[in-house]
Amino acid sequence: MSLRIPEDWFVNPRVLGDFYRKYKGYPIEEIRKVSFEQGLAVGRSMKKQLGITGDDLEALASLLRAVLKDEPTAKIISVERAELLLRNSGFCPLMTACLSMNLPWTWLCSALGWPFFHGLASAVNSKVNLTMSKRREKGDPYCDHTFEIGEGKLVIP
Amino acid sequence: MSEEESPRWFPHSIYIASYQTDDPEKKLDIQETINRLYDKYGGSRSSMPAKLEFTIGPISGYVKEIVRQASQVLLVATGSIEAKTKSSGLITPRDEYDQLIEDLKKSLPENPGSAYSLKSIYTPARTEAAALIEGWARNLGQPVRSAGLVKGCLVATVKSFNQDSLLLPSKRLIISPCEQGFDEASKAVWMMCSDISALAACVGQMNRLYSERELIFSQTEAGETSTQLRINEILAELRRPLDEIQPKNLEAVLKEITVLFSRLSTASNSMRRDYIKAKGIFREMSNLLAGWTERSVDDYITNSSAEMHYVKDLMVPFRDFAQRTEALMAQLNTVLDSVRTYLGIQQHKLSIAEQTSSKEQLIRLVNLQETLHKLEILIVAVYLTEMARIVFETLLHESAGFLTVAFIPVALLISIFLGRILHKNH
Repeated sequence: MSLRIPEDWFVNPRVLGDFYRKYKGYPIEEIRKVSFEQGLAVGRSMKKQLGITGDDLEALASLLRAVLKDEPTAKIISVERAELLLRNSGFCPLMTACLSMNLPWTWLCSALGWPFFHGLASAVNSKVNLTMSKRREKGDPYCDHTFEIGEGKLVIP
Repeated sequence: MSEEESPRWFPHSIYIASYQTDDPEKKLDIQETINRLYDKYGGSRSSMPAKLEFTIGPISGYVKEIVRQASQVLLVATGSIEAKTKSSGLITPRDEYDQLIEDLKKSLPENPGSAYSLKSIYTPARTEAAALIEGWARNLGQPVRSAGLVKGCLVATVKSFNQDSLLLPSKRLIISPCEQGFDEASKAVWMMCSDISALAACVGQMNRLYSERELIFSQTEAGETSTQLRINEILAELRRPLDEIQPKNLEAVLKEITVLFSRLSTASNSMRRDYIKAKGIFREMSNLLAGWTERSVDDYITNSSAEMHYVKDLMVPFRDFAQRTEALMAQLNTVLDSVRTYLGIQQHKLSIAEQTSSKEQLIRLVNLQETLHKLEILIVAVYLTEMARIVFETLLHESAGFLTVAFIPVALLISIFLGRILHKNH
């Protein structure tokens, strides 16, 4: 079974439901890889469109602002020399999709959500690390995505 | 469980576990579990319903599947054909019957939606039963939560605690059939097992519904705060002077409100749907417990009331979540109304400006027309004067210049007169 992630998974709960039912038994690492590649492709296309040339965290902030401009629940909290903090709070698309379609929140975030963001960031710098320092699916009040220049890893503590 | 179906022996230790799934593919293969137990313990087995009855020395064992809507309930019991009577305080927390139950449990599927562990002791006198329950609770080191008389049995439940959640997936009960003969007592306990199996199915469904939403409930506060802050920010933006608010900003606000509104609406409606499901489970459970016609014992709350309180407590977060998200939606509607009002005011201002501008344009047009009329009179007058000059030069050559000059006012008057006649209809 060749894995294909629909392009509108983050805005269409029905698509997420269909995807989960089809691939719930699939190795999660494989799904993560495909989601990462999807994020990378979106990131590269946006980077070109916006004319972003840098590879530092300021450049990443510009990209994230553009990608998330229509997403009221995601906000860049701080951009420092060594760290960029993106916070997701309120009723995010994955949370509401999980609630309405009765889907497992943790599975969707870890298989699709975080690798996609890591892919987006990697379009600016392939050595960006994404650490999910706070996660709502484990009870934190918001999701904190911490980006740092490192070894290009997705860290889920 | 009908009288014919129930074993003839007295059940001393009972374990009832319910499993829930809406997915037919995920249904448990209980027959396979029964077959495994048959291989281990022997005895007689059957399917439809899947059950097994066996004996190991003086101890009898029984495993049966009870299917109830979306629940599969497993009733596991161990006992003997002889009555086991002990005076209060002498019941050991783990006897040979419990040990066999523990062995049998190892073969059962894990993580049931709800589980009831029952201890059954035959006591001919009711006073003895009450003392027995107290002693049992003391032995367990847990206070009695509820107690009551149900269908000739004294039934008591010990308090269970869960610091992290409202969920109590497993409960411990003691059943003591009293003031009846041993055969009747045995039947009464099996009857109670059947009733508790039905209760386990309802409670299991409710536990599963709650556990699927527990994580979302823990996010209610944070989600609400974050959305509320954003609503306040939007309202503060809208309180700025009208001239500073650009239509482009209002468009962005409208887009954001639409996204927030659709998410809240989805979340709220989904939770309402689950709340209605929970009410259905509660109704089913209330009907079941009403059939118990439980009578209270001493100052204890009845088991029926305690179970209903438990399910009601689990239902509250569903209702609260729906109400809180609906309150946020009402606020977003207010923001939407404000944006609509601002857009209306801006539209009105624009139409006033347009009206003023077209009035000025009209005045300019009228002035232009008047100038044109005057020019028209002059052109006609010049033309008439020129015609007169030609006539005068032909007829009276010498005084043609004087006559032409004298004709100018006449030409002007004729021109005005002609102009009035021509523009009479305009």
